[in-house]
Amino acid sequence: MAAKNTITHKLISNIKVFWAYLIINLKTILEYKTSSIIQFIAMFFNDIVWISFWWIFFAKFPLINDWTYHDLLILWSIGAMGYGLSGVFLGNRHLIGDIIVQGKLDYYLALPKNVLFHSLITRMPASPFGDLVFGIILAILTLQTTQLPLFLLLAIMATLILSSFGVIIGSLSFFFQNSEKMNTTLWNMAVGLTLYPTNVYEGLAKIVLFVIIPVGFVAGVPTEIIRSPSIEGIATMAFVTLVIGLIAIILFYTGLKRYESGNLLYVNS
Amino acid sequence: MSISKYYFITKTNFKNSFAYFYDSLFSAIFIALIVFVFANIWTVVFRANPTGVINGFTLQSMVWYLVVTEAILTSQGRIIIQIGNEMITGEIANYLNKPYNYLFYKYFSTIGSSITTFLITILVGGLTAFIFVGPVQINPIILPLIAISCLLGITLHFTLMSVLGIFALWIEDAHSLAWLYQKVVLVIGGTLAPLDIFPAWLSAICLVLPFSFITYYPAKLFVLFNLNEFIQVTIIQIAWIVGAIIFAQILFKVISKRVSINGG
Repeated sequence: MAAKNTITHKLISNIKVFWAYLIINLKTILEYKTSSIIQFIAMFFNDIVWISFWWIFFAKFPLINDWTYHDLLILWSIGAMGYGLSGVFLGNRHLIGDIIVQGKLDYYLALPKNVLFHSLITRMPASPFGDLVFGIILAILTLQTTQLPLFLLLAIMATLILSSFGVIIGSLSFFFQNSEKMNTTLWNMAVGLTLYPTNVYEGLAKIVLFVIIPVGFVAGVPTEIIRSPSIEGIATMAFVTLVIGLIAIILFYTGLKRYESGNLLYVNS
Repeated sequence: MSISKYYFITKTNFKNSFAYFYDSLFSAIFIALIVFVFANIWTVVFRANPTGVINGFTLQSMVWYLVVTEAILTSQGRIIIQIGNEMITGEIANYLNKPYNYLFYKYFSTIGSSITTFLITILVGGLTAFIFVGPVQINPIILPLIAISCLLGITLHFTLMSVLGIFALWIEDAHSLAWLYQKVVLVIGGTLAPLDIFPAWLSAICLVLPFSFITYYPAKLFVLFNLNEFIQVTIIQIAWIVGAIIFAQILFKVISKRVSINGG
């Protein structure tokens, strides 16, 4: 009973911290209105440029295996939502490596909150809002109303998978020195791979993208599930989300035991 | 004397660029991934096309085209952000009192590392293309001409990024400008796919814009060489570079007056 109370207490405590950071981060974004608006528009425009490229491509080649432009738009709506949601609510998901290398983890270790969760939520850049809004608009324009609940569920799973990738990649910094460039490259690879048609891979490439580094589960598999919904598909997505999430948590806390403070003094802005 | 100082700046930074070999290698690995993705996409597209040729491109030339465009595009690094941040933060003060032209200094200090990155990307991207689609048929005699075309493409890329980097002081955000510019060159510049596959009306517009002279033309000349086209492209590349340099210098003079530097 006492253990249950402790878990509930911790959960409520983390929700409170999350809410507090949400308010602070939103106020920060509103404080720098011009810069935030430019970042928002830039990311929104970036997504439009990409789907314009694919419009050109599918205008010339209407079918890539059995995918049409419509399927590509579903892929992009889920990918943009996953990237946007994770960027807005877990803004440090791709910067965990930098936090470790620069010794900034000291700040989180000194406070009585969950270290990983706390370090993920302290940042909220404006640009992922562009992806989020783009993903929502594209989903409304592309999908039928009855498909939207499934879309939302898959987008949340995509968010968790993408964030877990970020933590796994970042946690490598506990084990390798000077890993910042490697982290950036791996993160760009993970994000980059999610937004191309995933039905073109065969053989070893397919095994790599769906088993070894399962980035295909961020947007490719959800797109297939929306095309032909199945309980098995949703259950597989839930299982993969759980497994990757657990790997991320275990790797982070295993690595944390190796962490050495740099005695860095800085203002957490 | 004035040219020799830029020669020494290039030489010094070219040597320094080898210290960042692994940075270039990681960038090249990312490009290899993009080449791998498109090799798979183009394989599927070409499989559905019985002639094996699309707008003059074979599967091999299409993928090797991408290797060259990506190598040019990624060779220069984050010039918009570098110049933009130096303008915004006032760090530009460190350069203004030096006996060289700021923009020329930037160019000659980055061209060495750009060439290193370009060559590493060609090597890693080329190896990826070779593994997944095989070699491309080219005449080795044209390679020096392609090198000139690529160097002019890289230089034009630098000059356009300089203009945007200076312009960043006005909107106080270099990252968004860099992000947008990169996407424009990726699509309109024909980096991801040759402009030949675009609808005729769009292709006609993109072909005359400066972005296509950064990546599209040098890469197309590499896989489908034509001497007359090379001469025409070279002249237009030089014209765009000269025009962009003049514009950048004027803009730099105007904007420099807005930079406020506080001592301390």
